[in-house]
Amino acid sequence: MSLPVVDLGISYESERDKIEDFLSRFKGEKNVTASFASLNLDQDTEDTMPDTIAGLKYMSQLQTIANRDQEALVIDLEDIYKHEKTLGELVSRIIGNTRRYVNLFSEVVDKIMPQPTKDISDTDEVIDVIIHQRRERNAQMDGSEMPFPEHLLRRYNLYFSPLKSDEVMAVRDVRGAHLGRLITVRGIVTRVSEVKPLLLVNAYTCDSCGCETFEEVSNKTFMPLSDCPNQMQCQRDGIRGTLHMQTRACRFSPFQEVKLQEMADQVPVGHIPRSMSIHVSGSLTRQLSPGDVVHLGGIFLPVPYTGFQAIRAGLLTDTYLEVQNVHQLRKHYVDMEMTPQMAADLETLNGDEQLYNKLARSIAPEIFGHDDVKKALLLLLVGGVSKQTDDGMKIRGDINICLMGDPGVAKSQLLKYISKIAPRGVYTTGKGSSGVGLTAAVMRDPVTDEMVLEGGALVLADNGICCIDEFDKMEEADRTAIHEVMEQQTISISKAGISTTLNARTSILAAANPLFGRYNVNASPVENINLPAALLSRFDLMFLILDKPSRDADEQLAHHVTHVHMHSRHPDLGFEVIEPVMFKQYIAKARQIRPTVPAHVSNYIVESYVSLRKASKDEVEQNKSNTYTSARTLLGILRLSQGLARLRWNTEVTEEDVNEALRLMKKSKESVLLNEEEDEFEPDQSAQSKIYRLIKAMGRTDTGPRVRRMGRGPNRERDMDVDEGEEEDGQLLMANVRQRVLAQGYTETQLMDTIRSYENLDVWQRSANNQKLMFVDAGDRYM
Amino acid sequence: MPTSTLSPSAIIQKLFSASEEHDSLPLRVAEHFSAVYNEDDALNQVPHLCSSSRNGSIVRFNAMIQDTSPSPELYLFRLGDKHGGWGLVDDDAEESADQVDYNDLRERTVVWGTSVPGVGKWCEDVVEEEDDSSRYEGQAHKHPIPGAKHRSAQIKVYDTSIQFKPTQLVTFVGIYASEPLHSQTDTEDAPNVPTLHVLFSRPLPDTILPVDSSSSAAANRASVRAELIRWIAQKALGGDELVAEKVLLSVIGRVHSRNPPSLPPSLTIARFPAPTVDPSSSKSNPGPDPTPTLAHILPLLLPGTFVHIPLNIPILNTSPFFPVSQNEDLHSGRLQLPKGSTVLLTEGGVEEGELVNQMGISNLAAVQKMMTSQALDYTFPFSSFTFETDVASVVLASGSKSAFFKTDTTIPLLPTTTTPDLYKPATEITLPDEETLASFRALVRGAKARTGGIGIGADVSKFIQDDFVQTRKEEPETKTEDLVRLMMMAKLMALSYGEKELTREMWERAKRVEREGRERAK
Repeated sequence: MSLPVVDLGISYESERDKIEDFLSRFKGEKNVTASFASLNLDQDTEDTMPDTIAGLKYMSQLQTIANRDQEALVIDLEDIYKHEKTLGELVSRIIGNTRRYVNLFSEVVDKIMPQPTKDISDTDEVIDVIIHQRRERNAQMDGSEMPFPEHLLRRYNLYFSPLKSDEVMAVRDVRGAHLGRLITVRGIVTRVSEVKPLLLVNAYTCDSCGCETFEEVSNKTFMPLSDCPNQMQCQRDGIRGTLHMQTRACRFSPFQEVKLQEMADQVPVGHIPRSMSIHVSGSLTRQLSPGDVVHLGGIFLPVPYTGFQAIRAGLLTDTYLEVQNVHQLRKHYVDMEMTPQMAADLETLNGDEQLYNKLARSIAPEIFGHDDVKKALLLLLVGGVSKQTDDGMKIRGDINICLMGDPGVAKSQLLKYISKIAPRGVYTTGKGSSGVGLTAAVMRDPVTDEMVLEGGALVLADNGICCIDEFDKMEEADRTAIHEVMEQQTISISKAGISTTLNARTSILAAANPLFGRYNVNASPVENINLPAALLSRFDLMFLILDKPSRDADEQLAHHVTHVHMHSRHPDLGFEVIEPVMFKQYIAKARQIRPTVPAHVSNYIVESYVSLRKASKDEVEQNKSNTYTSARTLLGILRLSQGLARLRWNTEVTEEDVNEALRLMKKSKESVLLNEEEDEFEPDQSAQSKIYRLIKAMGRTDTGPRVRRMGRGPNRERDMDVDEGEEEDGQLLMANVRQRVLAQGYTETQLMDTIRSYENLDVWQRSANNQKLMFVDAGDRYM
Repeated sequence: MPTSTLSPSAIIQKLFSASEEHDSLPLRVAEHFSAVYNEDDALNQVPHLCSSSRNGSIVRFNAMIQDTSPSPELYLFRLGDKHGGWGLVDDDAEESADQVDYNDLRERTVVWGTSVPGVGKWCEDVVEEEDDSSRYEGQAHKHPIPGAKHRSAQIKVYDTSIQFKPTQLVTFVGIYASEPLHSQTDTEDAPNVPTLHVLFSRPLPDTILPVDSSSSAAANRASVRAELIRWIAQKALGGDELVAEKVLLSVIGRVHSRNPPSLPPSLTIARFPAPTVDPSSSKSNPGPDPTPTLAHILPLLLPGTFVHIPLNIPILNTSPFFPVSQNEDLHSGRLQLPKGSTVLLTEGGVEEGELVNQMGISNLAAVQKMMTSQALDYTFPFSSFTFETDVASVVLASGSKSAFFKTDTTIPLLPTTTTPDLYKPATEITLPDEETLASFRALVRGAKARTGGIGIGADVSKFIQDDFVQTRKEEPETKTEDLVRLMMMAKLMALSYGEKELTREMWERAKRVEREGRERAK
């Protein structure tokens, strides 16, 4: 560890000349007026600006300071760098010994401060009037008397703003070696003190000679003067005049003490975050509030303990950061740093032919199989392209996916993995999250006691992915909120007098269990899925993952588990797993690409869509359909294809992308249909299920197309008129059923067995003294 | 004792003057003192940190690192020709305070250490009995167990290359001093706290005492094991040997691997009768919560930390189980425990009530998270940080399953006696003879110290695979988790027998215990 060594070879005189040269000659950028606007200057100030200094960035600011319209003078080190064209000279010396240079700059500024072009008037504050008076007195004096200290006449605070290339440090990286240097630290503000006045210059008057005495205070503690030092009277006459402090003539600066804590990504795993004391003064006060994520540029300084503390604390010093520059980061910060090595690795990865498979398999590598699901999740991470049309309509680019399946098929692990790897991933469970948790809430802030708008998981996941587990167990009201998020990508809230719309441009990854806990092969897919169709159609893809015992899969699974326990690591997957960090970077890069759809591909998509629509229509006619093909499907295909193009960092969507998108859609559909198809083509089906299908078919024809019920959203009044009187028709007369079933060659015993076993499954129930059979209407309860 | 009769400060001063290489001084000091106290016996003669420690004396402190958040401290390493570290020149400070040469500032790490919580008396080698005044009341929030007797100190380490992590166990040897609390030195009324200027430090094993590798008991391990299970069953579980075996397997559980997870299985003993309230004791003066005998038995056997948490509404609602940072000071929580700890949670004391505020719910969630993923979130303003834990847990529930937690296994208690006394006080437990007890402890410690788990041969692995496929065929509801859990139980079973590898026999035995437990739960 080495400490800064002051280079005594520096001539501060020549430094002053350099500073003066810089301040008086540096020209700002072309858009000077724009930068003026940002300084909140009045129109008249600009008019009063003499032509000689117009366009000079700092001189024009000094003019406004002289005119009492500006308080903070920020010296941008970038400007000095541009002016000097080297980082070696002045810039590096400022960074290495900042506090000294704040004084040097202030002295030069005092020297070259132009005369105010605006007269003192009644609109100015008292302090300005006093300063004005003092300046006039200083001018009148011929040096015989003690002039006012420069401090008293300054009405600006001088700050340095660090170089853009300055490395942003974590609190734990700030070491003794940084003492006295200008450094930039990132962290979260955890505590902010009240703003207190900090004494800079203490003023006294003598009660015997009436002379004013000033004492500059540079430390945290100081020893007040007691005897009048006036050489003209008291000292000459040997009188010990008593001094009285004059609060009005003192100069104070607003001062705030802040605690800054490290952020999660800066703390090594398994360590406790550190915090740091921050001193903020002058015009920078009141800019920080608890919870802010900030870059703070400042001087790292030690304060030796003095007085009583020194006796107790021994040879210690306290350290703090004196803030020079505050840069609020809030939401838009990206904590990813790209190293050249990483960039090269990404390029190599991009060239890999097996890229798509490789990336997909690297998602939760410990979860075995489910290749298509993982591919879909990969596309969810990458996303499609969002567009905003000229008339303000937004087209969603985020891909939504729903995973449904038996308990214990690793749905939750998949969700958690995605929420970890996604740039802004949030994991929540539908059961555990109230409306507040998932959407947004108005709450009273415990710190400030003010009403604040608190974003829930969805708002927090803005521009990211929100993973919702146990989607089926969610409150109806929250699901309604999800509707809005999934299509409009906003959340409207109206609570406690605050009404607003928040952005929630988020992809939804939902996991749900089937209605009966486990997938019931005897019930139809629609009954099992148990989510309103309005919501279902908003998912681009939906996968049904079933846990079916099959020798092959079981063996592989058992092999996997035992291997893990044998070697305490996962079996070789036959490919290298892409590390999460790398994965994140790749996705981030891919998301920057905005692929377009060329004309011929566009035609291809349209053709595919039309044929899909037709197939869907056929299915509806055969009462086989479980999903709709709608315009949303078309958009889904588009999004998926765009995601595939993005994945290759390709700016154009190709026909292969569309084919893969269609394949995934088909797979998604197949996973849902799988069971029904199996039922129909299985040769050894039992009499029971055949009878069940027969009766079910009767139910359908009698009551009109039951599929119609899928159209119902949470507001079922909408199609009430269509369904009117259906409740009566929902019942089948046992006599009719018996006739029909016996006519098909089944026995009475078989029929009764069937009715009883399905009654136990709550599929139907008998009523009217066993004369009628009524389907338990899943629609009323769940659809 | 070392031959050197010089005071530690004189030795440091001599080392300081000996060389101009000041930056290597901490290393040289550590080397010197480490060599002096190299013999185990020499180290054991160093007094423990206690309330009667004097300023400037050398003490040793077996500590759990509680808090590493204090910033490093800057101190003047040189004052004239004297060294400023190790609290040596405290008294002359005033004359130097006004002229600080920043080039003479050096850093030292400051951490907070506290006595290892919940260690059995037989384990801490030479803890001298102390009166209650040895507790440092002002800093009681730094110890995980509220109200427990403990010592804690701020520890100043001069070798800044050593990184300490929370809940790590370390033996510190250093110079004692009473100094103001580091995090508050900028306030006038910072309280004085015990401080250790570290000369050298050594890691302390999770098992506190070193593991006895000589396996003299190996020959009759099976019989010791059977005896141990019988003893636990009779003393604490109403003679239920199946549950006793489950308890043994659970408490020797460790995190064998984190990714892929191979975590200690949590256990619920269901139908564990709640303590019967003695009607003679008046309501206004209820005695202390009746403690199940199991809570007295386990610390007699377990080598490391054992903590009994009697769950009830007031405790859940008032004290956080997880560490919380308040005003840049990390307050400890009941679950901030070193790796290799065991927790016994009893639900017998739970009465009807409401889990008010966030605290109660967060506490339950923290315990659950620890069981399922062996991680604990420390709460900081605006953020929380996840820390790895390695804690085996056993829950005693009076219902058919735990009211609060989802554990890996649940087994109902089936006492063999009609009126089992499950709440015998510690004083009424009859200990087996010295030798038997030692063999019990050796068995538990040996199994618990095997942090790496146990190997599985290829043929056994194949056998297990086939077995699983067969089971799936017969009982389709068997899930992957069942296989994972069974694997874990089989490995622990083998560990409890002192095996080096998982054998078919152990697999079958684990399966049998598992099945018996399942049958009973039906």
